[in-house]
Amino acid sequence: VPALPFRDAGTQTAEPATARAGADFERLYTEHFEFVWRTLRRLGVQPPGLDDAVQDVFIVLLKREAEFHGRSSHRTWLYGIASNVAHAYRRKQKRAGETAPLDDEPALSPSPLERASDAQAARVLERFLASLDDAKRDVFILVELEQLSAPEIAEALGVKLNTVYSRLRAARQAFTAMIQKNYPEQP
Amino acid sequence: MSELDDQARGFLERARGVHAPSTDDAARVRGALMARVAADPGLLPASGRSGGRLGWGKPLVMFGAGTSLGFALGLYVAGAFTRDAPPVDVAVISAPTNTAVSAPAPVIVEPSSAPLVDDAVVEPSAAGSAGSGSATTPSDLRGSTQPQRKSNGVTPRATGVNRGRAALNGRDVQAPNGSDLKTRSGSDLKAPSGSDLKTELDGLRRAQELLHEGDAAWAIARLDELDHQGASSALLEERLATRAMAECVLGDTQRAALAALAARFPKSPHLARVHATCAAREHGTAQ
Repeated sequence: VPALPFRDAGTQTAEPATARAGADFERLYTEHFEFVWRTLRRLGVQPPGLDDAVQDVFIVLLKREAEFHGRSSHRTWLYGIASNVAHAYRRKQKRAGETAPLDDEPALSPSPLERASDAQAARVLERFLASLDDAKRDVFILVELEQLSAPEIAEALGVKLNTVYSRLRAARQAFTAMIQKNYPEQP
Repeated sequence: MSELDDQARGFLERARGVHAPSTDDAARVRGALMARVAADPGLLPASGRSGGRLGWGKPLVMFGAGTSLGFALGLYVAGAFTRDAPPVDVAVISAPTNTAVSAPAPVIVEPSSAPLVDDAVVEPSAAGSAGSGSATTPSDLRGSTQPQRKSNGVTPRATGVNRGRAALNGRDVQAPNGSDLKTRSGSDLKAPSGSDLKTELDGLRRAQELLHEGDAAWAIARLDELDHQGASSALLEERLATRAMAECVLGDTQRAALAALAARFPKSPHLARVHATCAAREHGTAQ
């Protein structure tokens, strides 16, 4: 059993600074766990590695907390970490053959959109996200799925606001085209 | 900028919630993460290190020292697990360590491979009577030849259905209604003074030692003593988990402490382990 990290030898109570660190970390974990989980999932990390990937994001957060200067929100900062972690996991999963590329999955048979289950919708969304390049995927996820504002995303990604808008426009057009192709409107 | 049409927007709405983690996912990852952090003490800042914008070095209003310590102890608990180990196979409740005593070891109760208490000590009939509501003292359970525990004059109270309704800080801790529920990060946790915290740590540690030694009734008595002392509630989650474990050991089918733990700390990593232990205990009793 590893030693209790918050406890100094010779003392009987948790050391205050590290105890506060634990509280801060727990607060961030509680607030952002779900965000990190679904973000990694949307970025293509499949369940066999998803648990470890989520942990990796928070481990990076612990290691790099001193680099966070509050210019962006915790959420967008964590998204950046998650994006890097997801990139590494996707490569690892691809090498290990754990998962077929999402865009190689058999296409869903066209059906009325109203009858598409939530799970089907999620699979289609995964395939769509996998088909985007990193830049457009980041913007599409943050705007359309996480409902962040374009200025906030521009700050987090370190790009101009117009760049965010142009990426979003392109991603939306691609998404609409994909929907129309797979789920043509009923006459 | 082009907007999504209604069809595409509806599709996104439908897909949005699918990737949300379950409660089990959250508990499993939290436990594994704690284990990783516990295995690498260097991840957390040392005393006096200036923190970044996360507020590592700043006092927190929302999260008092109690929560910090709870998480610290949670990390310690999780240290018993490895990353790849199944999350629920051994019941572990954090054991606050007193470094004045030798090796810091958590209380580990094996639900399946070892009995929670010595069956020669607690006979099935005794456990059964405990569940029926009759007043039973540890000496009743252990037989008259057992030496009396030194417990600062505290006598274990009745081990029946009323036992689980322990008053914590003067309040009944049966499952509150939804509006009363607060997580461990809620503001209802009492920020302890140093002496309060030490009292609570020592008391909880002693209760867990007693439980580990098979004296579940005395463990509950020690927890009762803490409740009546009005010690800090920084370790409330661990106290409830210990009490819940002791109730299972004694065959209390009402499991009021387990219900209280689930109500107050619905994401507690202890829940699955207590459930597993209770289930194993039930299974063992039934055979």
